[in-house]
Amino acid sequence: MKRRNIMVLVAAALAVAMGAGTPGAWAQGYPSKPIKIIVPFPPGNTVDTQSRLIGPKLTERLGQPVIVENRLGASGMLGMGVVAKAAPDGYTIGAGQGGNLCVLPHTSKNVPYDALKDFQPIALTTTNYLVIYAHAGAPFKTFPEMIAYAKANPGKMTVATNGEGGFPHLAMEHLRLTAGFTYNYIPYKGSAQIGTDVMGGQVMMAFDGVAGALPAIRSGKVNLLAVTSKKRAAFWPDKPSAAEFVPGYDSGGWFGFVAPAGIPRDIAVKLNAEINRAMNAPEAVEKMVNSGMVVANESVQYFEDLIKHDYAKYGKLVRDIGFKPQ
Amino acid sequence: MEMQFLDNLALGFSVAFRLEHILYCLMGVLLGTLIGVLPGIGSIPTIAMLLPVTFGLSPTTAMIMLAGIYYGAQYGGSTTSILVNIPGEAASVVTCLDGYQMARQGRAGPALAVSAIGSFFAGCVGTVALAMFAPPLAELALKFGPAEYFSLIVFGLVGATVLAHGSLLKAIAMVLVGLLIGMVGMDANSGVHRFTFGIMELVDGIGFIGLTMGVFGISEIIANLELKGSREVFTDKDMRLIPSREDFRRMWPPILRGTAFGTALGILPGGGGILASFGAYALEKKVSRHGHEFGTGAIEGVAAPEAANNAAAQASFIPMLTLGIPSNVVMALMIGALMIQGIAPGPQVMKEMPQLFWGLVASMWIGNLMLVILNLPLIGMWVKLLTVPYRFLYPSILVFMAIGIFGVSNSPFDVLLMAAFGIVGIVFSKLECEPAPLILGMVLGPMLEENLRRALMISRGDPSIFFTKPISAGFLVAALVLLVIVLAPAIRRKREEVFVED
Repeated sequence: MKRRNIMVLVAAALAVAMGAGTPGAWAQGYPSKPIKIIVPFPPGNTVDTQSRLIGPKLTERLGQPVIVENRLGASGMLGMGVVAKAAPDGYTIGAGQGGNLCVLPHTSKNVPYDALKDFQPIALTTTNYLVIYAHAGAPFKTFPEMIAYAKANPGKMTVATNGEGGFPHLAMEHLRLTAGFTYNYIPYKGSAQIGTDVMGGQVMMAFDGVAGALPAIRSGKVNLLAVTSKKRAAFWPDKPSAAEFVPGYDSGGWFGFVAPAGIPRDIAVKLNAEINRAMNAPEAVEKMVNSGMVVANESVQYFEDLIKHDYAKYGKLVRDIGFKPQ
Repeated sequence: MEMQFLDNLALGFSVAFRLEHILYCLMGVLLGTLIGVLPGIGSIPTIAMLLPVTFGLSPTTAMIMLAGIYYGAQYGGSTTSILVNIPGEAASVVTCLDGYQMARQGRAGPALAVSAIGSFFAGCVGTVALAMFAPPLAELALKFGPAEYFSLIVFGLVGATVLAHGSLLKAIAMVLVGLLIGMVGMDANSGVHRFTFGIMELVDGIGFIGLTMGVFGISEIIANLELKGSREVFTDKDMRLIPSREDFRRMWPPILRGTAFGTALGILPGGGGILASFGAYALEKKVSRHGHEFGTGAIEGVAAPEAANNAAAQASFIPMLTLGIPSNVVMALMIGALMIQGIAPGPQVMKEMPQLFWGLVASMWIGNLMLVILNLPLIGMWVKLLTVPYRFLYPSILVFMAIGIFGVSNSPFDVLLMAAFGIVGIVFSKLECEPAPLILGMVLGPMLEENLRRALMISRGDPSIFFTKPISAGFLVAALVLLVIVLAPAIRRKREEVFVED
């Protein structure tokens, strides 16, 4: 028995030594056991839906079960902390987004990871943009009227977004700084309540994600003023982008998968290819478009650059608005 | 108009009676009953995990199945409340109060039957209300802004003190402790971490499921250990499974009142369900001729909240389907399921996709009927379960609770929290403090604070917003009246007399 064990060990060591010598060999035996996707949010969240959507497709292609595990808590920081500390072997990856990778590190004090050093970006899955909409009875009907109203009535315009220091709040602050006006900020804890209160006219307007805002917009009780993407959205070709009136304004979010730093490059590349393939399958694209997302198909390098760029961008914004990390 | 309503219902039933839809409906209610009965496994994670499965179904089929899980779990949740004092969800906390007492007196059968019948009746009425009044009722939900919610919750919390059948002071203290527990976690307005002591797991607040299972379930199990072998025998006395004629006579008025109460409150987003069941119980205690029996196994105390909670479950579909407003997390998940299918919930759904809207409404009626047929024969089996020796029954319940709570966040922290609250629950029961008002305070506390601050931010710090808005002013006046009634010396004396008797 013992002898056999030693032989297995020697064989394994040889295989590792030989494998390390040949580029691309890491990915050859990969995956040999189940892969775990850690989702730092509750089931039903955007990244959860995406993970569960591609999970079965990855399982089929890679020949190993791909399991989704929800590790919620602290706005996604707990789960991402678990990913950061996992072994960098390609068997644990995490579902990240602009919020927990590029915004929270600047707005929160006890972040259990370093977003730039602890993760190896794998694949960008989707990008989105925010919508700016107002109660039908608000004293402005269009985006330029909104800016003019806010400038003429300092602090009178009530604006709802999700949680202070969150991504939509920063997008609103970015607009305030770029366009130069003031407003009365009303923080909320979820899109549903925002939609209800703007429809009911309790607050004048809101900044929110497409999926959360869609029911309100379809109800006819609110006006869609603008989208925050650089260009107009294919979803609403007749609605302007905020950048048409406020040059240089661009505020969009994104979602993607990251692994613990130190994962072999070829495994990252392999996962990138498989995730892109799964996300770009026609039925997946259709489902994402229905919830206001744009499916991406980018390289590992692209995602690395994007995280670095947005990390710096939000760091500067948080300093400019004088937000104190909590 | 009338004819059109009948046409709509006919269309709905023709959709719902398709074999495929009946099968998915049955699957939904079966699964719902099962997760409702298993402590700690709620409808939210179940529906969330089944969402990807529904991607391949038609939108109507998907909604029929998901809705079945939701109201099936409401049914199943009361079973554990009655049998072992473990509420499956916030709304069935009240069912524990009298349902468990009934079970201890060997009347688990009638308690389960009354809960099934009450739920069925309320479900039917709620469905009809949904079909007939959906659009105008949904408009009402839009009238509720932060000020109105704040005043409604104040009214609800004042009403909760009526719930306790002991010292009024203790009841108020428990509500306040609940409010404090509800404050743990990140403040939405400033992002400040409150009472977290640097523990990251507490940043999102203390989970409701862990707390309830600890305070109710674990403490009950510990309390039973004190009996040293002489375990209470629940079942050997009068083992009737069906309610007596007297029971039937007594349960109808509370079922009717509970249904009305639940339908009205279920429309409101947020605490509708829990306010409905607590409110219906408090109301029943005041108006019932058997009010003094409440807390000791009064059948009205099971009938009213069960009817209210199920009516609220059906009514919560109204704002979701007509305006796209989710009144709770499950409804938010359903909206997610519809959006993925390319349907944005809103008033246009009724016009553009009548087969979806009316098919779902009709399937809910069929589902409720299935549940009652499914559950009435099961009562005998549930009651039998109580004859399983404690040394087998309780360890298995503990294991299920631990698995359930672990499954919520995949973190051992919540299991420890549940155990800790078990000890807290024992302390409460030694001090004769009712935990029900605490749960209400804990669930409503964050909403109270959020809406108070939001209303004041909108009014730029002017508190008159609560009195100048008519709905809000109405609730505050009602709360004041209720407080005066409870505190009035003459009535208080009567109240004390009542309690001396028990």
